Amino acid sequence: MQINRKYLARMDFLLLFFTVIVLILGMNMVYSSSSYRAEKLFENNAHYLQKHIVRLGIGVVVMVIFALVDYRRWLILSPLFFWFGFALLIMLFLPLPFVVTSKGASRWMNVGFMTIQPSDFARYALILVLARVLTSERDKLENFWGGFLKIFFLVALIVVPVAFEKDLGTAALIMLIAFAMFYIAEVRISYILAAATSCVSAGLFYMGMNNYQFVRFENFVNMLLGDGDPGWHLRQSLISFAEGGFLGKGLGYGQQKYEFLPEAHKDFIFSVVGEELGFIGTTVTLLFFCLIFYRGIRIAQYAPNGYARLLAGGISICIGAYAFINAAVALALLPTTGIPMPFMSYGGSALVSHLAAVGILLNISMQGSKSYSRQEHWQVYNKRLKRPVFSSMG
Amino acid sequence: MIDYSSKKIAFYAGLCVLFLFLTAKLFYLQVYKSKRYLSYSEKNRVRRYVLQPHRGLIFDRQGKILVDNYPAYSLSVIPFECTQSDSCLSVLAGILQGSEDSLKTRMQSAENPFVPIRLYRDLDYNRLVQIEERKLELPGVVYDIEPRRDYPGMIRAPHILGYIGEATQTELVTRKQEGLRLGDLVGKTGIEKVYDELLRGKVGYDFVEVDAFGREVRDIKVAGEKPAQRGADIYLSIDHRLQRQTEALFKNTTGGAALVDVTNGEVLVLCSKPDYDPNLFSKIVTHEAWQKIINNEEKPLYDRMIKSIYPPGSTFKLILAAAALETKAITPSYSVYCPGFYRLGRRYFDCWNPEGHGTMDISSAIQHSCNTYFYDISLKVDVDVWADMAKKFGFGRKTGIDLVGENSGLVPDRHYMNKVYGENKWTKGMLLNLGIGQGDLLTTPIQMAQLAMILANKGTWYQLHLLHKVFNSGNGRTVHSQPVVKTLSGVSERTFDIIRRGMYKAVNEEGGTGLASNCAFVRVAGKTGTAQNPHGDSHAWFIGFAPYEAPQIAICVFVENGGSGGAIAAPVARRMIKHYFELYSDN
Repeated sequence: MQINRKYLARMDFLLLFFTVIVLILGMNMVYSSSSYRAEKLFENNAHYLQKHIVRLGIGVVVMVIFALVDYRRWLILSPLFFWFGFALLIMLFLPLPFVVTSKGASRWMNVGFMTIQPSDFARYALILVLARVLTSERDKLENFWGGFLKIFFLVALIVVPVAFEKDLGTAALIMLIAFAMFYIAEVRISYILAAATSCVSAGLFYMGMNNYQFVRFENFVNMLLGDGDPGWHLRQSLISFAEGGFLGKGLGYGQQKYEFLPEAHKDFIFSVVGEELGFIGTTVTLLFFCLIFYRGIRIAQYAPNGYARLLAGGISICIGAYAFINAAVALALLPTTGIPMPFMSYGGSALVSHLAAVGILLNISMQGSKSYSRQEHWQVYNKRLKRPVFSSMG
Repeated sequence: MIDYSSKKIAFYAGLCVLFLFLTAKLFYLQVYKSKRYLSYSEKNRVRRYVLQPHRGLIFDRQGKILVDNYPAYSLSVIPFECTQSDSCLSVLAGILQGSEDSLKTRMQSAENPFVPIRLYRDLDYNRLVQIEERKLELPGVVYDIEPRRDYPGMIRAPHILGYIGEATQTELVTRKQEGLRLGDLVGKTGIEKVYDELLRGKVGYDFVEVDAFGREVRDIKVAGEKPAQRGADIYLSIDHRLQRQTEALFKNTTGGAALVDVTNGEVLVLCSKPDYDPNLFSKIVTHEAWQKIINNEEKPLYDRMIKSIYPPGSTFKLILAAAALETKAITPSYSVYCPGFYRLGRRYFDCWNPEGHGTMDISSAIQHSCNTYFYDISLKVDVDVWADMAKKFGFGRKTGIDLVGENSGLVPDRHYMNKVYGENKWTKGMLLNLGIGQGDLLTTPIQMAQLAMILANKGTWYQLHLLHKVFNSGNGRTVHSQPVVKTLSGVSERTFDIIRRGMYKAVNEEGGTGLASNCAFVRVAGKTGTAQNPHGDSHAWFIGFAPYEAPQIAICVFVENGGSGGAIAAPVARRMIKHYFELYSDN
């Protein structure tokens, strides 16, 4: 694909605009929520902000690269990404020096300047692979054992290791994205329901085996039913929202981030937004995420082909689900999971991966025209995308 | 191509529903029910005050107060609130006459900036008023009443009582499980240290709601709130009347004395002089005062009774006598003629009496403290047998008295002599010296008191202790200390009788060295000692017990560089024994 003015003009600038707005808001919130902690730990109140900006810079560069490179290249490389992501997830179970274990779970890898969470990479690799196989194997989807289940096996390859890293939140989220993509790809609803039922049972069984997760879940159910203490973290989060009131305390004036709110700059950054920007600001922030999701779904709508449609749909669902689950956790509507707010939480591999995904959305939006099939390279791409991901699927 | 239009609608519908779902909860939290959650949030602004427990008091066995508490103001500051204010640091530095920078570093080093740290103890009234006056410029500055130690002056005994001070960094680490926190006062020496955990009590917590400016709004009741638990009171076995008398007897003298109840090992008097005023450490110790006390050549901080080691002199002849009798090296009737010296090869060893004692048997040798007799029998007893006997009587190891830093002393045996002087390089002359308690032999005065107790009890031995009972005001229970009994084996009653007979004669019969300790109304048995030492005049010793037939007390008197035991130590012992029986005899 050649980048020229014509393409750039077709780019979804609104998506870019909303993303940038959320990124800037996120930067402010990271600074506001981490400065006290940074001053205390590092005697530099901008410590976390500086690191956040570096990672944000990496993310933006990655986003630009993904916006400028034809998304189909990534689709062609997707099996490679998939197996690489799978290998990374498996590596977490091995006693390797760079695997970081924290709070009893090994979910991170230390790559020197930052720690990455392999599931961030594996998740988008899975979305790419699903976008490819659900399109190229479209005619086999009606076949439950021979078609659907084989594709579902790909999902399981990623979800199971993630679940065994005690990251049930992320595992459930990946599953959710996969089901949404099945839905877009017109897999039979009965198949999806069957898969979903078995997944939920497996999840409950797994939680039963890991007592602490079950207790956490039990506590959450008790809280929803009105009795029981939500626990220190969640109570502090709820207090943050209540402190914010209708108009909020103003950027930087929140108090919950002093000692009270745990991980204020990470998973609970939304609570800081709630305290400092109030009901109005928080609703507007949510609205921006809605708009990002809306633009993503719209890009899928005008996508040039099935691959792009599934890819754009999967990415949009992914970003939207992340934002929703994070907000719902902070509001005590869902049990606590370790899921950061996309674009806003203190940067890491999640931030970079989400920005890469936005890059893909932008690239798809640039090609969003019926004239795509007349593109000279299309036939070549099309042929290569039809190649089986698994040799057995051929 | 996938049909997308229906799915698009499904997604948009889902988006709207979820958005409304979140917004509804936001509205509920932030607008509708925010008051309810804010009431939770007020807990965030609750300030927790640590209530310092009253440290337990220390009494003597009569219930007379030896260590009391008095209230003192101490100043604390909440680093977060103080550093937020422009004026706080400079105003505070001005009042405390400290530097602003050092205050700042102290606050930055705080682990949790919301927890008050203590800056100043024993705040004088003048500064207290200044702080109260400028309170508005000093957010986060709080002062609380903290009990300090006060010594009513009944007795001094600083080495027993000890003193308290702020826990050091090492103590904070090693005694973490006791819940020690920065700024806590802990016992540093003496009883204050040994029974610190009992005395200290447990801190309590009070929760007070404060507004954004740190002003108290109201006192609130929270589950974690609890009053401070007062420390237990300790009753020492010390009798203040006897202790005071002994301290007076030792005025301007270097030395010490111990008086022990032989029926249970309780120490009624334990005095080491020179000493210092215990009130010295309960206040802020000025640099000059501290320098003065540590540079004092008489070392008043040093407890001579348990930490200093001296040659025991003639008192140790009793050990040699026991060893000789027990190994059958001599019979009770074995006699030696003392011409005033003892000849070993070509060397002459002097008896203390140059005119000679004449013919001596064992008990008269003890009575007269005849060196010649003991020179003679010291060659009949193997040095290891003698050392074993000394160790049986508790020498060469700690008595286990409940004080800190006790010295074990030193009992030389063959192995030791070989090591120090070389294999077979040491002479018989050295053995003669050891036999009369000179040479390398070193003991603490408290070990000598223990010896007196063992002789009094004919081998029954109670661990010496200062703790009489503990009263816990929390549950109203009193726990008496239980005597720990040990028995000395391998020394027959007959041997004890012979030695005790000699001790009796030393005090009660003409020519005895301890006549000066003779009391009219109670029969005392004792042994004097005059320990020569290369650094100056001889040390004067006296050990003994009374009454002779059914002993109640054992005593050890020691005067450093005092001179003759019979002339210097024995009269002191007499007055102490007399006073004891005046106070404690039934009639």
